[in-house]
Amino acid sequence: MSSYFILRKTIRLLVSVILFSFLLYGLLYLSTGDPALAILQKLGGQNISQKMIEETRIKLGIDGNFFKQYLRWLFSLLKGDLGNSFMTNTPVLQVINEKIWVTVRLLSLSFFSCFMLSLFFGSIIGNFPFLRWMKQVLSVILSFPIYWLAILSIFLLGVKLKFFPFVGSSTSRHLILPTLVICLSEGSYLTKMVSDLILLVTESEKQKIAIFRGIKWYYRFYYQLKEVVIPLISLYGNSFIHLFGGTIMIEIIFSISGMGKLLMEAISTRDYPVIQGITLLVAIGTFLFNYLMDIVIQKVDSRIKLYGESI
Amino acid sequence: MKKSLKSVITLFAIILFLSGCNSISKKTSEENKIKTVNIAISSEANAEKLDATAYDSSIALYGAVYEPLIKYSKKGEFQPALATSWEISDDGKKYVFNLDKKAKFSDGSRVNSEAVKFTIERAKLNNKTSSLQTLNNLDRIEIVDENTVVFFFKEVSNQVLAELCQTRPLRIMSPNSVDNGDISGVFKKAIGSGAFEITESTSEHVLMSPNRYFNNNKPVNYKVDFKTISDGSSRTLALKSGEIDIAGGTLGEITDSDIDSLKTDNSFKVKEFEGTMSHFLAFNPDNTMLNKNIRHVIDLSIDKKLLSKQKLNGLFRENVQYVSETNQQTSEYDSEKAKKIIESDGFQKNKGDYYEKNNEILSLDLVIQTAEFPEWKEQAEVIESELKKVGIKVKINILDKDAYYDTLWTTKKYDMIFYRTYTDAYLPYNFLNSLYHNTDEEHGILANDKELTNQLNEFASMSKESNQQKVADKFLKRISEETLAIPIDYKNEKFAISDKISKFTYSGLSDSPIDYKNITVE
Repeated sequence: MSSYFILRKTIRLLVSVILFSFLLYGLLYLSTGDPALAILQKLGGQNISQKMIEETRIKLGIDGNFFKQYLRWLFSLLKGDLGNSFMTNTPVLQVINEKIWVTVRLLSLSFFSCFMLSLFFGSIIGNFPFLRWMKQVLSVILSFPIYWLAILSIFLLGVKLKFFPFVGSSTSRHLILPTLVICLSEGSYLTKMVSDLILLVTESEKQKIAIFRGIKWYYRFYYQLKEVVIPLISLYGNSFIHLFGGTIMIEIIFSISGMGKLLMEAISTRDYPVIQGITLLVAIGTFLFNYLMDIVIQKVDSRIKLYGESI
Repeated sequence: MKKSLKSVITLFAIILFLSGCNSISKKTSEENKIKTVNIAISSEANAEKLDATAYDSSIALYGAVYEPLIKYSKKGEFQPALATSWEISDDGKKYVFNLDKKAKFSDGSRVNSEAVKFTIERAKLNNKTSSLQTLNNLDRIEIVDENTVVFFFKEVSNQVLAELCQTRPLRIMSPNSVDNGDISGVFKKAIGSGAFEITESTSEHVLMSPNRYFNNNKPVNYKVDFKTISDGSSRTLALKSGEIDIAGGTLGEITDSDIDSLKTDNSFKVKEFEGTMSHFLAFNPDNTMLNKNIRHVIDLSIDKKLLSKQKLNGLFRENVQYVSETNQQTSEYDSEKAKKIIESDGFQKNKGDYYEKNNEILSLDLVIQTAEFPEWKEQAEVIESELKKVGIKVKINILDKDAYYDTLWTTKKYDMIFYRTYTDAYLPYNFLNSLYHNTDEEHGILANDKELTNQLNEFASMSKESNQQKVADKFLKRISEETLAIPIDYKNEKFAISDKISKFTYSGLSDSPIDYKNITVE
C-alpha cells in the first residue's frame, strides 16, 4: 500500500465531508418549516407577528443570504464549534455526548449479535443442503418492515408473555427486545448473504475433497471464511452503517433516548444545529468507516489494486 | 478458530446471565417500594430544567411540582389555590392577592409574598416576547405583608386571573430554586408547593416522590413516574403490559381506535371528560373570492353530522366562558339554499358541474396536517365531497407539521385551513385576539374584520365581568354572522387508566389534566 494511495483517499475523504456539509446546509435551508416560528410557539407565543419571526431569525443567526450563513457555520465548525441547540440553548456537542452512548451501546450489542448469529447460521445453512429452505424463511422475515417486527415482538414478548420490558434502556434487560428486533431484521439479511457466499465456496473442488475426506463442517468453515473474507468485510461494514438507520426507528418505538430519537425530535422542531451536528457526525463516521474498510481490504488481499482504480 | 468461537459464545452467555441477575434484584427491591403510578408522556421530560417561569421542560411535569395562585374551573370560574382570596380594583389595574398562610414549598420554606414577587418578576425577565398581559402590562409588585401581595398594571388587564391559572409560566416557585434567590439567578432545582418533588430524572423517565408539605402537610400516598414514550402505539402497548398506569389527554394522545379497543378490555378504564378545544375550518382573509356570501355557502353545504359525533353549535363549545345558547348561531345544513346564494353572487355551473364566474372555477385549496391531528384527513375528505355536491371544487393539501404552521403564520398559501382553538381560560378572548385581531401593521391571521377588532379592543378595556359579557356576546355573534370559522369537531379529553387507579379526577385544565390530590391508588 503506497503513501500515494493513503494521500488520495484522505483528500477524497476531506472533499466528501466539505461537499456533504454544503449539501446538508443547503437542503436544510431549502426545507419547509421555520425554526423561528417553532421557537416562538415553544415559548408560548400566541400573537406571533412577522416582526417577531424576523427578530428571532436574527437571534438564531439564520438571517441573511445562504452563503453568508453557510460560511459562518463552516468556520465555526472548523473551530470545533457545532453551535447551540435552538430549542435548549445547550451546546450541540454536549447534547450529542449525552445521547451517543446509549446508541453506541445498542448499536454495538446489535451488531455483535447480528455478526455472531449470521456467521453461525449462515455457515450451517451454506454447508447443509437440507437446511436451505431456511433461506425462504429469512426472505419472509426480511419482507416485514422493522416497525412491524418491533410492534409484534413488543406485543408477544412484552405484553402477552411479559418476558422483557420495552420502555427505555435503564437496564440491560431493556436492550434485549430492541436487539432481538434488529437481529431479526438486519441479522436475517446478513445470514442470507453469508449462506449464499458460503454456498458458492462449498461447491469448489477443495471443499468437495474436504467433505469426501470427512472433515467436520466447523473446520471446513474456517477455510471457507478465509475465501470469502473480502466480501464479508464489505458486507459487515455496510451493515454497520445501515444499522444506524434502523436504530432510529427502534429508539422511537422502544422509547430509548439515544441519537436516533434526538435526530427525529430535532427534525420535528427544525433544530438546525442539532440536525447538522448529528448528520455530520454520522456522515464523517461513514466516510471514515469506508476509508478504513478500503485500507483493510487491501491489507487483507494485496491482489486488489485500489489505487488507479475506481474503488 | 474453534477456541475463539467458544470464548465468544461463553461471553454472550455471561452477558445474558448478568442481565437476568439484574432483573431479579430489581424485582426484589421494587416490592419494598411504595406504590408508584406510571404516567406516559410523549416528549422528553427535561426535568433538570423544570423552571416554573420557563418553557424548557415537558408541560406534563409543571402541574405535578408547582401550584398556581388561582385554579381554573368550568366556564371561567376561578377558584382559590395558593391565593385564598383576591380583589381587583374598579379600573382593572390593581390586583390584591391574599395567600394561604399554611402553604409550604417542598423544601419546607413558606409560600409567601416574596416568593410570588420573585416568580412573577423572573417570569417577566425570562419571557420578553410573551403576549401575556400579566407580564406585558405589569408595572410593579408590592409586598404588603408576608401573606398579601399587590400587582400593579400599566393598563386595564382583564386576563390576569386566566393567565395565572395556566400551567406555565406563572406558577409559584421558591426563590431557593435559583442561585442566591435572585430573579436572574441560574436555575438549580425545582422547588414548588405541588404534590410532588423530583427524586430521580433521566432522559427516559422522571421519578417524583410526595411533597410532605403538600396540602397542609397531608401529602399524597404514592409516587409518580413519568415515562417518555413518543410512539403512540407503544404507549398503548405499555399500558397493556402494565408498564404504564395512565395515558392520554395532552400528556400523550392515544388514537381513537386504541381507545375503542381499550374500552372492550376490563383491565382498563377509559375516562372521557368534556374538553374546551374546538377544531374548525378557517378562511384566508387575503382571498377576495371568499367573501361573506361564499363563506356562508360553504357553511350551508356541509352536513356537520358527518364530521363529528358532537352537536356543533358554533366555534366555541358551551362550556367556554361567555358562550351561551344564544350568542352563537347554530349553523344549518341546506345545500339548496347554498346554491341559490352562490347563483345570486353571479356564479354559474359549467360542464364539469362546478360553479364558475368570469371563466374562473370556484376552486379552493384546503390545507391540513395529519401529524398532530390524523382525523383531519377524513374530515377534509368529507368537506371535499360535500362541497363537490354543491359545485365547489376542493383540493386537499396535506402538509407536514412545520410546513403547516409555516403556511398558517408566514406564507399564507391556502384558501381554507383546519385549525384548533386554544383551551380553558385562554378562550375565547386570548384565542380570538391572537388570530382574529387586526394590528396597525397587518390584519389578523384568520380574519380582516375591523368591527371584530374594535369589539375585541372594547373587551380588553373592560374591567367588570358583566360588561365583558355584553361585549363578548357581540363578538361571538359577529363570528357566527360573518362565518369567520366553521366548527368541525369539539374535542374531549380521553384517558386510559389501569385498574391500579381506583379513582381518577380530571383537573379541568387541559395542559395539566391530572388532579393528583384526588387520585386513589389501589
